[in-house]
Amino acid sequence: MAARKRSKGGRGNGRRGRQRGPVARLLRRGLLLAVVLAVVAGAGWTWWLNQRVVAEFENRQWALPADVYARPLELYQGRALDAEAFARELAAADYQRVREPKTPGSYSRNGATFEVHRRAFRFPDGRAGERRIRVTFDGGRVARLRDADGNALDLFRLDPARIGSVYPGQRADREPMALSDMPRSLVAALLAVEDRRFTEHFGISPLAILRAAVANIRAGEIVQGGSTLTQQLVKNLFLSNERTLWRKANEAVMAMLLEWHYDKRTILETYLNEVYLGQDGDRAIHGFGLASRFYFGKPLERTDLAEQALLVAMVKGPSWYDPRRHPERARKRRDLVLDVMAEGGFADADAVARARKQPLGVHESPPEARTAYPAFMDLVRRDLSRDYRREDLNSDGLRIFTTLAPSVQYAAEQAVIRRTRDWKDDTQAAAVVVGVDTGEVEAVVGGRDPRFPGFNRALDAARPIGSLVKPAVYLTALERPGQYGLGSVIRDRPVTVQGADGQTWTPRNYDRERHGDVPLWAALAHSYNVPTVRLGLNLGLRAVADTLSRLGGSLPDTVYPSLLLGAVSYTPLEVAGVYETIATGGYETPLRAVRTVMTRDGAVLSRYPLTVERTVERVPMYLLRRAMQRVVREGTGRGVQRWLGAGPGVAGKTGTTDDLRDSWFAGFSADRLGVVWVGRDDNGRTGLTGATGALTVWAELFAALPYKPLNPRMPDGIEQVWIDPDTGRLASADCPDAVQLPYARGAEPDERAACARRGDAVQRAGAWLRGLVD
Amino acid sequence: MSARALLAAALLAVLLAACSTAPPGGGTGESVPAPPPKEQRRAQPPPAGGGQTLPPAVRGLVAKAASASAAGDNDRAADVLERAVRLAPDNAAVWQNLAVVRYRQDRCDQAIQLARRSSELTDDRRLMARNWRLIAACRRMNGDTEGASEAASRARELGGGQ
Repeated sequence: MAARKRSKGGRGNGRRGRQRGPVARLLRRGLLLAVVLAVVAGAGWTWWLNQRVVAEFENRQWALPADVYARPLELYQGRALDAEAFARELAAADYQRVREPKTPGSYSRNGATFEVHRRAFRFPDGRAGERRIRVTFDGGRVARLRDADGNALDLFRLDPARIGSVYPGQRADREPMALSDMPRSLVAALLAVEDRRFTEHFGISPLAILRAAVANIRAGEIVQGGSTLTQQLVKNLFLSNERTLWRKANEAVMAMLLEWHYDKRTILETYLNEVYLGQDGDRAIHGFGLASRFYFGKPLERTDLAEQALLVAMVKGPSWYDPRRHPERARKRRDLVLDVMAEGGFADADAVARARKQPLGVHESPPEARTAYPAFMDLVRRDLSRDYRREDLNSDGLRIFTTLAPSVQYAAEQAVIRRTRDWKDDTQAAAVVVGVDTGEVEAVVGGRDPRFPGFNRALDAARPIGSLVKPAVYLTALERPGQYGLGSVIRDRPVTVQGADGQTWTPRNYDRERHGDVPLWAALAHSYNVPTVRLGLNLGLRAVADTLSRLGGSLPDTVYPSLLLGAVSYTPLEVAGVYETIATGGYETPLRAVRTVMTRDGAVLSRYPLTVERTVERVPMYLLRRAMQRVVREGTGRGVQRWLGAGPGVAGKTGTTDDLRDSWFAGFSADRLGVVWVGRDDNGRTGLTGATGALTVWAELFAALPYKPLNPRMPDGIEQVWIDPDTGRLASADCPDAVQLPYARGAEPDERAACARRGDAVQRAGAWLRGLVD
Repeated sequence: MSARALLAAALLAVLLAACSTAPPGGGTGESVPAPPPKEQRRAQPPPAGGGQTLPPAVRGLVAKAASASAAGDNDRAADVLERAVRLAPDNAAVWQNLAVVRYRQDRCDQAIQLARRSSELTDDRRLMARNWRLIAACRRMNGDTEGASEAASRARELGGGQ
């Protein structure tokens, strides 16, 4: 009973409790829970904000990007270079043309005579001071080189063009500077205008916020920001222009967290390097150092008071006060900044008065984007990533000295642009230029729009190389002097071989014709397919593959007879590696884009030394090169003579793949090697052969470059002999159609052609002599 | 500092005498100064330089390399010589200097390659002989005694003197 009662009562109480007591209790508990949760969430949120802001700040703080330099231009009397190319080199190195080159980084020009005021520069092999020189060009060469006093100079090195920064993970680049290197007047102006209490506050300035809030309420919209520099920095770190209250609150918390973690100097320095100051296409301009280059084309150290005031003026709204688009507005704000500086005693009144009279001084067009050489920079990054971790490249502010030759790069870009203009829009092209003796990459063009940092075909488009493989086949033959010489006759009759999948394959000549028996050199010069396949099969696929690999080419796991016609895919850069071995006369020389990496304080961190290794002997290589000279004299490459004239002093090879999908040309002079590919990204047909496509780009490029004609030293063990082209037998000079060819000594054919049997020894000797003179 | 400058000037004078005119006299025409002690314990490398008139543009570089090498800074010497190679790639003496510096850097494989390349660029028998002596020294260091004596006899045939 009692239990029931109690139970009843209990229930009664309970009901009441549910109606009043428990609800209140629940509410209380809920509230408590909410408070706890809020505190926990708040703490968690704060913790999270802390993690974010610290990570982001550290990332910027220590993220001095690596500076990347082109190769420095060397001047000496007799150097092949014309005045225009020199002007281009000066422009690339950011030299300003003036009347009188009083300051470093400027030059004057009078016709073909330049007076250049070099900047001081620390090269990997020593420091060079600033210096004035006078150089005169004549006939495509340096004619005279003198110092300021008129004394002849043997050698002069220009400070190199800065071609970019390696700053992975960010699209924007920077020109970060230490606070101590920033002009004091600039820093003073910034603090005066943006945050007078910077040195006192703790990240936010409640007074300023209050003042701003009042102004905003009065106006009914947000007209004023009470942001400290620290808050602005946070905003910049996260690149958001959202102006919600939530955002502001977060920024305020993060600003206080920053102040908690870092001292004022560090924060100020980061701000100066981080603040957003403009836009150049898809590139954001961050930091005063980069902005100075962007607007005035000079380093921040060289800006004057008026220019500094303009930069500070733009902090408030870089697009609203863009001095290029809104010069009036920008000028008004600049003058305001100048006034504030004068009032605050940061600059003296006279200087301000003078500065107010100055024009804005902004360069009309922004200098070309920091990475004007996206394809080459790509190569640099890849080369470095083999030896450096990404973080190291980020963190150490390295100085990277590369092999890029700006005037050669320019010529390569122009050749690609001009030639591709005539072809369909989807026809793409890529080019690589290499210095023969050193293997240094002088230029890389990754597509028909060379400034566009997209798909880098020079490095990433691996395509079948077609007939570019043939020199490997013929070289294999020439390495067996007992069996083959340049005059050996190869039969041009159909051949059928087993293909990759067991199917039979009958290669045809490109012109679909049969040429009967052809001498070896002519088969290469005219790029006949059938004799090449016959020859390659006789030599053995393995031997040909071995030759290709000694030239520096990579091989597929299994090789099929189709390799003989170039069914192996290389990028233009890989092709350049193979042809470099031919161009050097048999020395495999790894291609390099980087010479030296230095730390910011001047120690050499790593060198990429020149290395050479002879992988093909001199005599067969000499013979091959002579045959490749015939390619451009009378073979598939003769089109280059339209650009370079008869006897062009170059050697090369065309390549065309099935159905005109890929068009190649690889060719070299004594000092330069160029490889050009033309094709489509979707691997469609272009309607171009090696000769009508890539060759024309290559020839246009070499026509614009100074190059040393190819005239290889004849190695010991070579002699010139007359050969009857029909039979491949020994002939003499008076035999009709006889051709004179170099042969490995002792390997000339034993048999004599009919016409040569009459000839006596004296006559032969005469012919031999004539051959030498020829 | 000034003592160093003096030394450099002296070396430069020696080098110019050696390089800019005829090849150094048959005897001990050292144009790149003696290697640091470590190398001295091993086979003495042949002298480099000379043999071919150096173009004015690289004369100063070769001298600079010589003093860097003498001061034991072969990395820097190699940097400077690579620069010289870029300016005068057909000059056998420049390649030979680089070969000698590679030898001093303990990079014998490259020294041999570079010495061969140097010889291919010249008809100067003395210079070729010096290259063969360098190759002989390298082969000896690599433990190839047979190859070393073959290279040494090639050097003798060319009559460069030792």
